[in-house]
Amino acid sequence: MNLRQVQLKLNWPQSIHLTNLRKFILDNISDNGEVIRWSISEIKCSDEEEKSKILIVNAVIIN
Amino acid sequence: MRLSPTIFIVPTGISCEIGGFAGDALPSAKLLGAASGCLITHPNVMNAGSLSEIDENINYVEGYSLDRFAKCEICLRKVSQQKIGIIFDAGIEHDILVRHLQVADACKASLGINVDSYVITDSSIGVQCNYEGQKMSSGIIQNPKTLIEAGKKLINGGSTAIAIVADFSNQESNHYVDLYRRGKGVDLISGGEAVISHLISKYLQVPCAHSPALKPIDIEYAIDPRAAAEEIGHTFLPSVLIGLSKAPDLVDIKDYPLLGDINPYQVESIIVPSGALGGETVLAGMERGLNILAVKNISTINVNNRFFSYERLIEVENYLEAAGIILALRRGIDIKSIKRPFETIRNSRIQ
Repeated sequence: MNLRQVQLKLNWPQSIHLTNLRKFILDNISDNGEVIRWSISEIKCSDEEEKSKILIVNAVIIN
Repeated sequence: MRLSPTIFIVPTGISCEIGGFAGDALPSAKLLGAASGCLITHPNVMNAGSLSEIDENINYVEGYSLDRFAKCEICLRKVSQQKIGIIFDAGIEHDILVRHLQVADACKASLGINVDSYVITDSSIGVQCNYEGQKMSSGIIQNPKTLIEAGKKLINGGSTAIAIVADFSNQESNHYVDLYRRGKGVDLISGGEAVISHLISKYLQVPCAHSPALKPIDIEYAIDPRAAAEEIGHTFLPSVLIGLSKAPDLVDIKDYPLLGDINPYQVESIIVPSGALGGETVLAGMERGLNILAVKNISTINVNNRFFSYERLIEVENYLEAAGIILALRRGIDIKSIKRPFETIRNSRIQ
């Protein structure tokens, strides 16, 4: 049983509606292990129209 | 008057102007509890070092379990009293351990709290906090297995709630601690604390909360009043024991909730700092179309509704305004009727 901190940068696709965002993030984090704690710490917009967003997600996972 | 079950979150470790210090969101919680009649909140809001308070309107739920509640995985069952067991980290120095045991006795003798037993972990939990260059406090522990095994011993001995005291005596940087005590920095150890309590919640599914064991520190003459509750005792354990003493049981939603249980489907609103919308409880609430009351409460992060465009988000200036809105929702008063300029129905014809 080992804990590890990870920081993920995820492109938030426009096809992912807000109601599916949590699942989208969890699906990505769980590639690294079982999730203990996570949150979005920052969101960056990669264009002026703010259509493309990058999520910075901090998580603690256990393997 | 009907209740309006409401979740109140002030995330730990992001230096919120209100709630980023030593239980300094507790007065706001009491107000919101009175307005809603049923507030569900977490230890970071309620734990003020040596101080805390029991409030019949407030339900004390650890963060991981609060996320599960918001995701409709569990409901909450009121109890008259929890039977509390304490896990002490094997790394705690003897005199500091004795101070904590004296707190436990004091809570039994003076407050009537059922602190039933304690265990010491087989080996050090091994806390590692990180904060350099981060916007939020974070941390891990080296030995999660020893923590969970200690918790299992308590549950096998009949404990229904668990307080954890981990050794943080080597985790504090004087520079950052000084900033925090003066009201200018992040609570550095809170991220590590959250991981510890989340582990117990995840693997043992009982009410729990964490209190750090710290070495005594020198007097600080410029202490910020919001951090003062952590200056007035030898340990922070009293607030944890007070909070846990009447924390609700966590009941799997599939296990036939009883009349009187707080069901997550009853929750109408979540109150959260406007820049802290990126946590699991809030996102789960948005999935379900709950009212999100986003309160101006400056912190080190800024994940706000500009990025989400969530329609049922209500921005408010402060917790006083939030309480008014919750009360209006509870009484069935349309908040648009109170605001000016007045929105006439004449502009709302559907063709």
